[in-house]
Amino acid sequence: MSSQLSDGQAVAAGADTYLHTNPGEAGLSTLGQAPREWLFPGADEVFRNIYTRAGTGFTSEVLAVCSAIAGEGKTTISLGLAVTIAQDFPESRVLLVETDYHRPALAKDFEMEATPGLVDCIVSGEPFQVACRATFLENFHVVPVGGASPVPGRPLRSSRIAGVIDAMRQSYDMVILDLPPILVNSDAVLLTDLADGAIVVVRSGVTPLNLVNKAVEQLEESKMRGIVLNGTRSAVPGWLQRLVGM
Amino acid sequence: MIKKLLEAFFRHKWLLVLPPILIPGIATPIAVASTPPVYDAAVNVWVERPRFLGPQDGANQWLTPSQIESNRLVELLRTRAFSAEIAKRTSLAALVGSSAGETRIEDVLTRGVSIGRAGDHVLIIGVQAPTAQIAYELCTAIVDAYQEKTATDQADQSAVAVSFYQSQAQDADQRVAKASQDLRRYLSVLAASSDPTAATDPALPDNTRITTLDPKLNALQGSLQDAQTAANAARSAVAGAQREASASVQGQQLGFQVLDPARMPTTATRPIKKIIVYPIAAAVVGLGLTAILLALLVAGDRSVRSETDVTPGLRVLGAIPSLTLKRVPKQLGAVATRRAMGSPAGMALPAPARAR
Repeated sequence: MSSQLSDGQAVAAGADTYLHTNPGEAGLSTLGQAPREWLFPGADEVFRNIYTRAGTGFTSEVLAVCSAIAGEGKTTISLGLAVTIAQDFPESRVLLVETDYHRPALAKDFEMEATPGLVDCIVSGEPFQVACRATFLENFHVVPVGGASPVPGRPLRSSRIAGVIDAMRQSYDMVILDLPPILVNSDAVLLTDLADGAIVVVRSGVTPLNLVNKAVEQLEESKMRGIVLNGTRSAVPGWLQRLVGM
Repeated sequence: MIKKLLEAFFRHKWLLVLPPILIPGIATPIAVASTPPVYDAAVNVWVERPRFLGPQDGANQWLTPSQIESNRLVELLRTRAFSAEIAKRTSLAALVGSSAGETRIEDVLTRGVSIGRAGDHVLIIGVQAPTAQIAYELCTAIVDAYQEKTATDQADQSAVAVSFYQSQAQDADQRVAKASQDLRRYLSVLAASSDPTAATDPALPDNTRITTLDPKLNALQGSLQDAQTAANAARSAVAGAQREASASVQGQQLGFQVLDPARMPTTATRPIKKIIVYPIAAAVVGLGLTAILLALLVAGDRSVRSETDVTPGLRVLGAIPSLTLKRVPKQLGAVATRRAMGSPAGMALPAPARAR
């Protein structure tokens, strides 16, 4: 694991060039030291607000994060929620599971080996712990989706997926499923059935309302926790917003 | 609604600001290029109330002399005959007679001639033309043609009036002659039947006595007197008409005096008003286009931008602002944001732009 993250550390060491705020506040750390602080000041509070309003984090459950179409920021939101919950509840074990094998991102972002991943475990029948990866946060693990499926068909539709998720539920207090887009990949609907709750991510100013409604219609009403608007930004200058009371 | 309009405006500000800037920017050079420099000539005329024949001329007493003459001149300038009359006195004479030429003359007069007033009596006739010569000639020609037209009208009216009264005088003379002849014939008959001497001279004092006794004779003498009175009145009317005609012609000359004759213009000027109108109109069109574009953008935007856009019943858990990192290659923007989000857990950030 250390070797997997060593390259990432090197790149992360240059993160101060990105910072909006005082680079000294970023608190970049090396593996084994204290976890890094948020690069976006205040972002953790936003995620804290979201999981509180969604009524999650306090009890053990499987939460699905989905969207209508691709590119709405599901993985970003899933990651933010998982990190925030892991930081806020150090005694809870948090697992982020990537399920979109068409657009894998976690392994690359963490600069770790893509395999074995979730699909590999489902196909091979190995326990999911094989695919679990540790992070800087002791109570937060991730499961990448894995490499290309070695067998034809849809592995996420196999009967083993329910068993895998049940096993995750047993081992972790909070399991966050990063799903494929609902209107693009019907596997997402199947996976939401296995989850206890679902959050729909909507890219502000991009996703048409009718697509959002179509996606929500496919979810069980009882599991629908709500919508998270991602990337909201007003183009109106601040002084004008204050003037018209926006 | 105003929030949506503002959002759409600032989101597409360059697209929306472009029409009111670009269209006048294109229109202004075209306006300048299509409005060539012109030469201005003007003549100031002192005008009095027109003197027509007879006191009841029907003129509006509430209009000032300059208004009356201005209206008349404007009306005349709209006629082909008067335009041709003016053109014949200028370098444009060659254009008279052909349809295209007369159209050109009308165009020059319509666009170039302006009739203004300075007070109740001063009429300003201004001409703008592409050459100094034409401006000067047109200015002079308009005054000359108008004066000639007015004089001709006065002469025609006078001739008609005098002719009318003369015909009435002739009728009256004829009635006098007839009445006189009737009386003479009656007296002749009367004298022949009683006293031949009296019949030869009806003017004798005895005849007077006779007429007082003879009702027929009395009636004939009365008719003669009436006819003579009418003839005298008609002759008086003829004399009056002739006198008034003469006076009106002289009065017309005094009532239309050129105070400041036209001068040959020496410098050309650009008509600023005309040039300004086009950019203003273009700006208005541009603003209209912007308004239409804005309305279309707002109406066509079906995306979810805020909590108010979400279908009622759907709960919005939160809104995450647009998070971007500085100095990140544009194509890595979304990846960098995601990695920055996972940075507390050990995610690796992409290499910064300057390091690539």
